[in-house]
Amino acid sequence: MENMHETDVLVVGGGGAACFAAVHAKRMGAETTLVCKGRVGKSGATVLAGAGIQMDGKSACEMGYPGDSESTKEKLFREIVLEGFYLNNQRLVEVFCRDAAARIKELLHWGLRAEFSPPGSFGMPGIELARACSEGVKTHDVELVEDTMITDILLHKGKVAGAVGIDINSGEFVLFKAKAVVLGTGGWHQAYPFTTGSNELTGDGQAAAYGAGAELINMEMVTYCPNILLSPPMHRGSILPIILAMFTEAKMLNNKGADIMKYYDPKIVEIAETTEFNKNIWSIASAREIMAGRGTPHGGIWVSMKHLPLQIFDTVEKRWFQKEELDLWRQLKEGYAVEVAPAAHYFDGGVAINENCETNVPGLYAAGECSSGTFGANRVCDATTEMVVLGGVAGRCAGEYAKRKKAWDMDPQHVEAIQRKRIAPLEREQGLSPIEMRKKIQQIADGSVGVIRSGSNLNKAIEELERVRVMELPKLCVAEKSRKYNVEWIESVEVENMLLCVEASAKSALMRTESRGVHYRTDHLNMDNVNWQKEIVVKEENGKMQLGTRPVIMTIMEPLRAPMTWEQYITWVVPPLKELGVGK
Amino acid sequence: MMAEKTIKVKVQRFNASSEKEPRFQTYQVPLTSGTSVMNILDFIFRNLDSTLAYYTHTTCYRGKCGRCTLIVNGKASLACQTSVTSDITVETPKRFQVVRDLVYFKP
Repeated sequence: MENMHETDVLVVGGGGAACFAAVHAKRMGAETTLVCKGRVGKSGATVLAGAGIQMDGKSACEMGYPGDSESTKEKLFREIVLEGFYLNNQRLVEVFCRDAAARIKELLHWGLRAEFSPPGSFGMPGIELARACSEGVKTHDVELVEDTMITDILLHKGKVAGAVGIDINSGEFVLFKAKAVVLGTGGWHQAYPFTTGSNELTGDGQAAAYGAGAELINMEMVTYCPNILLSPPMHRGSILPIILAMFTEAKMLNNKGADIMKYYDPKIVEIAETTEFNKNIWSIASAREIMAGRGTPHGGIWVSMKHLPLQIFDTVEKRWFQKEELDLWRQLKEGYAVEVAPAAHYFDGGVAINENCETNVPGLYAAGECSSGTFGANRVCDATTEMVVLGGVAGRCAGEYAKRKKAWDMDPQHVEAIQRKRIAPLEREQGLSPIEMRKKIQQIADGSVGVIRSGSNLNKAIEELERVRVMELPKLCVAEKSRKYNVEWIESVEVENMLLCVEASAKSALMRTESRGVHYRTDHLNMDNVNWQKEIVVKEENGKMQLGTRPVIMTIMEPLRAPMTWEQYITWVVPPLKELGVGK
Repeated sequence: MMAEKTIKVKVQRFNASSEKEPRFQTYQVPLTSGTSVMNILDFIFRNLDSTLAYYTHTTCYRGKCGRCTLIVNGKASLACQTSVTSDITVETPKRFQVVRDLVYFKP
């Protein structure tokens, strides 16, 4: 094997979670290698983040910022659990609130240029946040291996021994011998036909962890962001329309020009306009129109600002727009509508971790969006805070673990088997293209684990996913046989990862016979607090995907008892959130 | 949406292990308005020729990451933020070593 790295802690990813994990592992005195699918600071979800990063207002005041001292860690904790529909692991929420200020202080120390806004938030473009994270890595003597995709985790008697990856430029395998592995690889955005996530987000961490015997939880929870630009192709995925809809009374219209919110209870409409449940309510309302055949030519809805006086346009802050997005801005100002739709945005579930970011596999850690994280069934607070906090915890704990443990030898037979499997699509003379399979997976995901779910759609999807896995996956074949930067070959690994994530998601969604958070089922509109304040656990056992449940860890806030519908919950939860200072 | 017209896209192809010099391959691509160079390369890869190598495995499409920089009609451009209205030629910057086709080792 030509490419071999030996390290204590191998961190996988290139965004905030991975950067913080690498820095904190290194600080524990562990030799640390950061392996990134792209370039550190230029890839991962962080680059495209909105972005704000938050701590409690009281801590911000203590740091000398004009925060709100009434906004305490305890309030932030309550906010996250109320917004997460009580599915949050409360120990992890405690960690989020505890560590946010310290991690943000580090970012500022690394030169983060951000603007403070009360109670305790810092705003900046995502690319600036990514730059600051990579600055941290640069100043900590971490070995960097870039443009390298980790495909598999290596074990020795059930404990982490290292990982196998592919150098995307050369197409050569790279072997990492490591005592601990931290996954910070983000979500599986690309399994959806319409997403705000960048190209590399293909569930690589979740799939590698699952393959190593780790548990995945809350996989059915996929947060959508409504009002994302669908067309023209060049600006597809732009968040401009949702920003406009949040700051002005922009209208959402169907293909006939009817206001899509006019059918809803005024109370729900008001909640959408005044709280962060706008993501949920507007996504559901948009998806209903699209599913009923009242969508636009590209399968979305219209956002129009024609009814607004021109002066209102001047009040909108334009400095974070892309130069090219100003064209869209002008279009809206002239009275034209733009086509938008809800886009797969954030993955609330993922690799199951405890408050030390440990998985059930000794030596394997996960952090950020790739992990099950802090947000339960619905995310409102900043994913950026989660990534830096959990990244820090994962790095610290993995570093400490690596110092106590010896390195295991990797099993050469296992390595060879992995390589044979990965090379197979290159060696087949004929078969099925990963390009077609990706399209198929996206269609299935969109139709089953999208904004609105139903038992019948999920059953159909699962049958199809199982067929694709058993019948089609073993026949993947790529046209180009050179291993050098072979896009289709890399996609052959990615489609397998995405297939796994969508299958786990669909099976979990079918099992959860209720509506909670971003999981909205037309055949189960009740939020079943008697039976479903539980996590759904997905795990491989004897070569099969097995599902189980376990109670949610609740340390401070008691479980809910009352039966209610999804709509009743969000109506019920708004006043207590307002008491916490959340909402308009 | 219906294509408004068809354009010729001249793309640099090169595999150092079997070729001495880069060559150009021309694809006919349907063009709709508001299409970027990146959208065109995606179209070629996904519909016409899956052997094409272009930097796509970690790209943001929003002009933020800067990793899709190519020479378009002789000018250094971000592929994802450069709109296409007529025939184009796409190649790598001359001073960098080519990995394959449109992918080069970036500093």
